[in-house]
Amino acid sequence: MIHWRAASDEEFRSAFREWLTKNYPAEWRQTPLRPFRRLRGEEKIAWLRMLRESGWRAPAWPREHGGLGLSFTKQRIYHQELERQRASRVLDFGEQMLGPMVMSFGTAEQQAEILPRILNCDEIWCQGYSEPNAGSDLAALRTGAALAGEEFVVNGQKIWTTHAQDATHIFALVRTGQFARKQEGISFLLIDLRSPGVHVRPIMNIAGDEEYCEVFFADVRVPKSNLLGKLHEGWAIAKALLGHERIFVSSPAMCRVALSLARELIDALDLAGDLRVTDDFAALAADVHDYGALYDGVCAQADEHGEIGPEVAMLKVLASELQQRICEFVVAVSHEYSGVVGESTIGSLQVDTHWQFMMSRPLTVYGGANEVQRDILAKTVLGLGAGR
Amino acid sequence: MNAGASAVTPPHVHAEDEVERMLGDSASALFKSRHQVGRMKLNAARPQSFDRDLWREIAELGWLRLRLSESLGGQDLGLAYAGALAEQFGAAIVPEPFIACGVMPAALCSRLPQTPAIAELANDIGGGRSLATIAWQERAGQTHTDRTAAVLTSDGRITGRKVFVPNADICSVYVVSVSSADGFALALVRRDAPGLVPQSHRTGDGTQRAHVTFESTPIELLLGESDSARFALDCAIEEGTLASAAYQTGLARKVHAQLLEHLKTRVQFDRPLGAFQTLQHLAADLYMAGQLSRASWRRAAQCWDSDPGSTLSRAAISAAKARAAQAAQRTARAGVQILGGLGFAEEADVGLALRVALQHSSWLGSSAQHLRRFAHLSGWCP
Repeated sequence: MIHWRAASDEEFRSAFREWLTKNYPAEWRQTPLRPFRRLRGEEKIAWLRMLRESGWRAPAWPREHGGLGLSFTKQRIYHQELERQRASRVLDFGEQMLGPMVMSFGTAEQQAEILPRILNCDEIWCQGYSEPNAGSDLAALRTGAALAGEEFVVNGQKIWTTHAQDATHIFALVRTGQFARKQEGISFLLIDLRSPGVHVRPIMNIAGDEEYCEVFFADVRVPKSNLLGKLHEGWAIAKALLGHERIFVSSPAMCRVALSLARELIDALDLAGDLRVTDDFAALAADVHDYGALYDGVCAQADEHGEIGPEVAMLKVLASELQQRICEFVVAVSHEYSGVVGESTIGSLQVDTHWQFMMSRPLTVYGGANEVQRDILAKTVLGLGAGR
Repeated sequence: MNAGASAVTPPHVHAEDEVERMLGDSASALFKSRHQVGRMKLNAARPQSFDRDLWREIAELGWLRLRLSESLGGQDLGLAYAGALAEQFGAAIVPEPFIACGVMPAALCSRLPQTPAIAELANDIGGGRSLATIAWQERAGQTHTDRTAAVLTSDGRITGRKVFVPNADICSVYVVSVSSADGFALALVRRDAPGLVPQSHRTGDGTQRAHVTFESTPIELLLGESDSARFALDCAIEEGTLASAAYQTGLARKVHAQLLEHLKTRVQFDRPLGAFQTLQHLAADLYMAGQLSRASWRRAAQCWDSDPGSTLSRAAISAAKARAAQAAQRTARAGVQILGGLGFAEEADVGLALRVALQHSSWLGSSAQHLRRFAHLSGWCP
C-alpha cells in the first residue's frame, strides 16, 4: 500500500479525487430526492471492499493495523473529496468506533483477530449502547451479562441500534456488577448476532425507513474472550471516544447539500422574487458560511495540537441545528408540496420534502442529545455547575 | 445541484500567530492601565470619549500605521491584524476611534495615487498628529458609494450635505466624496473651512457623529478622482466594516465574560445562578454565537488579505458584520436580563455595552443589509 506520509496534501488530494472520479458509481450519489443518503447492506459492503482492494480503506487507522495512517489534514481531505463527489455517507461502526477501541483496549490476539475482519467486511458491526430506560443517561443500562465458567450469559434489550439488521456483530455495554456508582460494573462485550437467543426487530422511523432496531438477548452465550478491556471497566472505553472521526460527523457538507436543495426549490417554485423567502434563505446561507469558518478553525486546532477538546460538542450542536433550520425552510416555502409524503416533481426537480425534513429531526438527538451537549459546554468550557 | 458554486473554497483559517498575540498583549496592557469605561457612561461626572494622550500612545505603538502601505511609511500588515486589534478595542470598550480615524483613512490613503501631498497626509494620520474622518454618506442606511449629490465645482468648492460623519467634532480634516466634472472625486477639507457647519449627535460610546453641511466650502486638496478614488473609498468602507465586526466580537466576549462571572458568584435559592440549566444553556448559546462571530471575521479578513476587493472577500465581510452584530446585541441584551435590576442600572457596564453594540451594528450597514449583500455576492441569491 502507498505510504501517503511522504506525499504532499495536494498530491494526496488529487490522487484520491482521480480515483473517485473514475470509480465512484454514479447510482450511489446523493440526489435532490435523497440528499442525505446513506449506503446500506450489500451496497455498503461492496463500496467498503472497493476501497479495501484499491488501497483507500480506513483513512484514520494506523498503517500497522492495515489503515492508511493519514494525518488529520489528509483525513479531512479524504472526507472533502467524498463530499465533493456527493458520495453517499457510510456508517461503518467497525471502522469508526470499534477499531480504535480495540487498538487501545484490546489484547494482541483480539487485535489480530478483529481488525482484519473489520477491514475485509467479514464482520459488520453495530453499536449496542442505548436501552429502553437508558438514553442520555446511558449508565443506567440494565442488560446483564453473568459470568458462568468460560462464558457470559447475556439477558436484556438494546434499542435504537442503528443498522443492526445489516450487522453480523454488536459491541455492547452490559452490566456485569452492581457498585455504588452506576458507571462501575459496566463491561464492554463483543457479541455475535447470529448466536442463539438474539432477536433483531427493525423499527420504522418517521421518514418511513427502517434505520434502527431493537435487539433482544435471551440467555445468549458469549465466550469470555470476547470481553474488551477489563471486567466492570467498560464505561471508560465507551467514554474514551477515540479517533478524530467524530469531528467529521459535524462537517458543514451536509448543510451545504441541504442549502443547495433549498436554492433549487426556490427556483423551481418561482420564489426568487419573494423577499421574505430570499431574506430567510440569505440568513441560512450566511449561517452555513460562518459555520464553515468555525469548523475549519477547530480542524486547524485539532491538526496543530493533535487532539480535539470539548469544542466538538459545539460543532455537534451548531451543525445539527443549522441543518434542521434549512430543512424547515424547505418545507416552509414548499406550500402544498410539503404536505406530500413521498416523491414530488416540481418543474424539472424531483424531491421528497417529507423525507429530508423528517431525516433532519433526529440529528439533535443521536450522538448525545443537544441538551446534553449544552450541559457539556457549560460545565467543561464555561466552568458553570453546582459548586461555588 | 450547483447553486452557490461561485462560493469556492476560501483560504484556510489560520490560528493566531506571534504578531497577533503581541498586538493583543500590548493592547490589553495599555487599556488596563489607561482606560476606564466609566468616562463613557451616561452618569459620568466628567464625560470623556477622546483622550488625546491615549491617542498619542496608540500612535506611538504604530497601530495607526498598521494598514498604511510601506511606501507611505506604514507597516502594511494584513487586515487580520487590524481586526485583532479592533477586537481588543471592543473587548475593553475603548471609544478612541481606531476604526474611523485609523483603519479607514489608512486603507484609503494606501490606495490613492502616492503623491507627496498624500504621503504627508498619511504621515500625519499615521503619526497621530492629525485626525481625519471620512465624510461619504448622504443618506441613512446608505451602503453604496454611488449617487453622490455633494458637488465639487471647478473653483474648488464643495456644496452638499454628509450625514453620520464619525468623530466629526475632534477631526481636523475631513475626506469628502463628491461629484465633479470628471465624475467621482475625493477631496480634503479642513474642519475650520468657511461654509462648513456640523450638527452633532452623541453615539453609544459617547463619541460624536455629525451631519455636516458644506456651503461653497473651499477644499484643501484634491486627493483622487474617478474609479481609483472610488475604489479607495470602497476599500476603506470594507475594511472599516470588517474592523467593526471584530470590535463587536470583542464586545460580545467582554459581556459574556462578565455574565459568566455573575453566574458563578451570584447565589439565589441557595445555589449559584450557574447551577440552573436554563442559564447554563443560555451561556452555552452565547458562547457559540461568539465563537461563530470570531471565526467569521477572521475568515473574512484572511479572504481580504489574500485578494483585496474580491467578490468573495466582500461577501465574507458582510457575513462577518451581520454575525458580529447579532452576537453582540444578543449577548448584551442577555446581559441586561441576567443581571436583573442591576442590568437596567447605568452603574453596571452592560447597558453601555448594549448601547455600543447598537452604535456599531447600525454603522456601515445593518445585519439585514449585509445578509442580502452576502447572499448576492456569494452567488447564493440572484
